[in-house]
Amino acid sequence: MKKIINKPDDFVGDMLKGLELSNPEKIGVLYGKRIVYRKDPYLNKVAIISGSGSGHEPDQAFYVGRGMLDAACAGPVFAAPTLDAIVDAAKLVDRGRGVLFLVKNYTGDRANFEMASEMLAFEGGPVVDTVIINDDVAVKDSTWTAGRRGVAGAMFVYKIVGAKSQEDGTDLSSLKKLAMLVNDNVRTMGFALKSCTTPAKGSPTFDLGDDDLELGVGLHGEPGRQRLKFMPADEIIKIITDSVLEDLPFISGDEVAVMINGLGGTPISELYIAAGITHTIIKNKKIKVFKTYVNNYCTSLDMEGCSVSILRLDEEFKRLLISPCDIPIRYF
Amino acid sequence: MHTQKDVLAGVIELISKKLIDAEKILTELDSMGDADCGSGIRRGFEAVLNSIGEIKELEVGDMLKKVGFTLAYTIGGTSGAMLGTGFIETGKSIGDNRDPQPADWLKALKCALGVIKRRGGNTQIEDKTLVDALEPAIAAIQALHETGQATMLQLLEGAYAAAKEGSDRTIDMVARKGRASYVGERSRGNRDPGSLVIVLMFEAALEIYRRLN
Repeated sequence: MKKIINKPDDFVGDMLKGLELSNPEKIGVLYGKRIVYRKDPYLNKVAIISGSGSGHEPDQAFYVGRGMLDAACAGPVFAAPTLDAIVDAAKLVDRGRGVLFLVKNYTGDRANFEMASEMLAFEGGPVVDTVIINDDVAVKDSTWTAGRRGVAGAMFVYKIVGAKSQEDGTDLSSLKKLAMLVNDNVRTMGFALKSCTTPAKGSPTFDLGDDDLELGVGLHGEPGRQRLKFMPADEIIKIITDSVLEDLPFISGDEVAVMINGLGGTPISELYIAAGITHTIIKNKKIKVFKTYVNNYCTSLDMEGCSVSILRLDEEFKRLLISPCDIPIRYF
Repeated sequence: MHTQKDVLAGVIELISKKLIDAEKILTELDSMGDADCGSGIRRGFEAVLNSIGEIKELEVGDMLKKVGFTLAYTIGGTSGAMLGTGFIETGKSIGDNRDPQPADWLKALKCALGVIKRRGGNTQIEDKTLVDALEPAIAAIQALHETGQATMLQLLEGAYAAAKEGSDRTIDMVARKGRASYVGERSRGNRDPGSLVIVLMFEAALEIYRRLN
C-alpha cells in the first residue's frame, strides 16, 4: 500500500489536523472525539449535525460551515462515530433551538445516533430529532436488507437543510419535514471499476477483475448487487442513469439537479464524460436540468467509479440549493 | 467466598482478553463488510482492560454499565452500539442489586436482548447477527432455570452450548441486517462475527465459573 499515511490508527486525526490548519477561520476540531465544528459565531438557529465513518471525504467533515452543517462527527474509517462524540457535538452546537441529526441509513450510524438521542433525552437536552437518508436505488428496500443506503444524495439534503436553517424563524420540526422531503425526491446509483483500500487492511476490500465492474457498490467498499463485464462509458452511465430515473420515477416536465459524484479514485475528466452522457439521457426525456454538480462529493477512499444522483426540484429547493455557503472545500 | 462483583470482574477481564486475541479471526469473518470488526473490538476491550482497576471497584450493575459505556465510546460502528447496549441495558436491569440471582440475570439479559434487537432495526433470529447466538443462549438459560435445579455453572454450560450452536447456524444464513445484507446470497458461507463475540463471552464466563467449582 503506497499512501500519504503515517500510522493507520492516525489516519482520521491527521486528516482533521490538515483540515483545521487549512481552514483556521472556518472550523475547529475536537481531536479526542473527532468532532468538527463551525467556528464563526451564530445564534438563534437549529443546529445541523451529520456523522458517519470517515473515508467518504469531503462527506461530511468538509461540509461544516455557514449554510451547511454546524458540526460533523467523524468516526473511524468506515465505522459509525461513537456515542459520546455525537452527544458532545449536540451539546456543543445547540443554540437553544434544538439539533437535527442527518443520518445516512446504515445500521451502525442509526444505532449510535439513536443511543445518543436517548442519552440526551435522559440528560434533559438539547432537544434533538433525526432524519434518515436513504437514496440508493441499488439496494432493494425490503425486510430482507437493512434497507436502502444513504449515499451521495445526502449531500443535497445537507445543502438544502443547512441553507434553510440559516433563515429566520425556521424551527426543528419544519427542518425535519424539509429534510424528509429532499430525501423523498432524490435517488442515486453508482458503480465501481476498482475497489478501495482501507488504511487498516492495506489491501483492496474486494477483488474486481480487470474486465469487471461492480454495479450498485456500497460506500464502504462492500460489494454491490451485480458484477458486470466492463463496458464503454455510454453503456454503463446509461444503466445507472436509467435506474435512477425509473425509480422515483422522474418524468417529462420535471426540473432536476444532477450530481455526478466521483468515488475518490476517478479523474475529474472522466466524471465530466459521465456528466455529458447523463445530460443527454435526461434531456431526451424532456427533463430540465437546473444545475449540475460534478466532483468528488461523497467518496470511498480511493475507489474508482462514480454515482449519479438526481434530485427533483421545486422553487424552494432551487433557492436553497444555490444560496451561498461557506465550507472548507473550494477551488479558489 | 467470592462476591458476585469479584467473579464478574474476572469474567470481564477474561472476555476482554479473549476478544482482543480474536482480532484476526473477526477481521476475516467481516470481509463481507469492510474488515473493521476485529480492530474495533480490540480497541474497545483494550480500553476496558485499561480501566479494569476502576471497574473492579464498582458494584455489579455499575460495573456492567461502565463496561458498556467504555465500549460504546471507543469502538464506534455497529459493534460499538450493540455491545455497548448489551452491557449498559444488562447493568441497568441489575441496578443496585449486589447479589443478583439467576432469575435477575435472566431478566437482565432479556432486557438487553430486547434493546439490541430494537437498535438493529427490529433484528430477528436468522438475520445473521449476534442475536442468532444471544437469543438461543438466553432461551437455554430460561429452560434450565425453570427446572428449578440448575446451578449457575449448569446455566452457563447450557448458554454456551446454545450460543455456539446458534453461531454455527449463521454460517449457512444469508444476512438480512447490517452491511452484509446488501450483498444478498454472497453473504452465505461465512460465520457472523457478532455471533462469535457472544460465544466467546459465554465461554469466558463458563471458564471462570469452572475455576470456582
